[in-house]
Amino acid sequence: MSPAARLTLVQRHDCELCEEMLRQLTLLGTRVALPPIEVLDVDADPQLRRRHGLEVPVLLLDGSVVCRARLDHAELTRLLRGSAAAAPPP
Amino acid sequence: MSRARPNSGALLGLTLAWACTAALAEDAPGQAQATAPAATTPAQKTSPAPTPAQKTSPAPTPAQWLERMNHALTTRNYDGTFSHWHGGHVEMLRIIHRVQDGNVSERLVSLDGSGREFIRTGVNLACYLPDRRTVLVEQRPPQESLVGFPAVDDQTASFYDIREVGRMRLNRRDTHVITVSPRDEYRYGYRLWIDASTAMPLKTQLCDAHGRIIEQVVFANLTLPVRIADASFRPEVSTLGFRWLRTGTAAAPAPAAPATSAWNALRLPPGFRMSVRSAQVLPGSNQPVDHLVFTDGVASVSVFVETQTVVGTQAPPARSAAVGSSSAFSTVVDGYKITAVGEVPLATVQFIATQVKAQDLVPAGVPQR
Repeated sequence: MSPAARLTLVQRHDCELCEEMLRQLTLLGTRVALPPIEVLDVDADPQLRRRHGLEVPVLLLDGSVVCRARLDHAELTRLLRGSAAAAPPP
Repeated sequence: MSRARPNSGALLGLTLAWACTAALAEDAPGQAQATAPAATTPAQKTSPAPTPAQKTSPAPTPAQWLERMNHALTTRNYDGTFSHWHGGHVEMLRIIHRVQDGNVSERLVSLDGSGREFIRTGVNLACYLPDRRTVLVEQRPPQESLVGFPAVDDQTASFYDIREVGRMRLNRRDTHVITVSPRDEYRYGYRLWIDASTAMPLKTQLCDAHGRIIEQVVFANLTLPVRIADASFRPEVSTLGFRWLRTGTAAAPAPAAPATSAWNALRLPPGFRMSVRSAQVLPGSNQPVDHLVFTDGVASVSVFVETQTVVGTQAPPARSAAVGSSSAFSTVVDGYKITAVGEVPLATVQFIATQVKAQDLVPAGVPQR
């Protein structure tokens, strides 16, 4: 995993799918080292709302969409491995 | 801003509420510990016929649900993983809580980022801070748990509106949704989803006066094992080469200097009263710091009074800060630096800090060099 990698969860309050994705991320975090997670309220930013307002939750890795609605464990794990491979040696 | 007290609750903002969308598994005696969220069993789906006592017993009031929840949090064994959302960031943590032969052991571990661990055994609390290669050790009153919701008494209830606003299914569990809403602007409110059968909080939110969510904690899994091994309370982090710092104990007598025993607030926000007055030496300092705690029963504010050591002829300006759900305000009075910190609105810490005065105090006078 790249040291600069960053996960962003674009979500909405009182959104069950959003809470479920966060719950799944938490469970995954007990098995896999995850980058820091930032949570953004889709309704707090007009640009975010225009881009993702109808499809929350959306999970981004360094700004690129990993999955929407439900956590795609396999895709996230694959992308994190790729991120680690691309990271420069310490 | 003054140095932070090595208080795990303050560090994590977890002094009160819990959130949990977790599946909840409870061990029956003799069963193995569940390691994954348990599905509802057929036996759970079919409730037995109520006994006569159950038929006649009144439904618990919202305040009684809070009592039940606190009792569950402080007396049950549990092991859970949760996410703690605050300030736009999420931290994942694991809590293990055991009550065995009357002794309470707790371990709170950050699963990402800092890798910090907080382990409490009886009155001893050790804070393992790998990012600082430091272990802080302090003593805490046995009733001061890493988690829990303060007991709500009649006085507290007069400053909050406590209601049950509905019942909800949450991850296949029945929950009672309880709101604790402040009646003025000096405190925050809470929303709690309390499991109907175990009284464990399955979801909680800390909200401001406008109902906006400031903080949320969400369990991803939670088990209630009958037994938890001692090994569960050992730190994972290697402390080789770590610096060990021990605070003055909470039970230590205050220094004899009269200036350290006279601090008090001339006025307080409605419902707040002083609950703790102590003196302690914080890690990295050789000066005793007066520590006062003011609480309304639910919200609390810590005030630290220390000798102002900044060189100069003018007192530094008052400073305020808000980090996540915590607010802090610092000012200088008569050569003493007064810092108020709490999980309350900024107006509350500002109110209290500016009202703290020393009676019959000889000003500290000349700044130390």
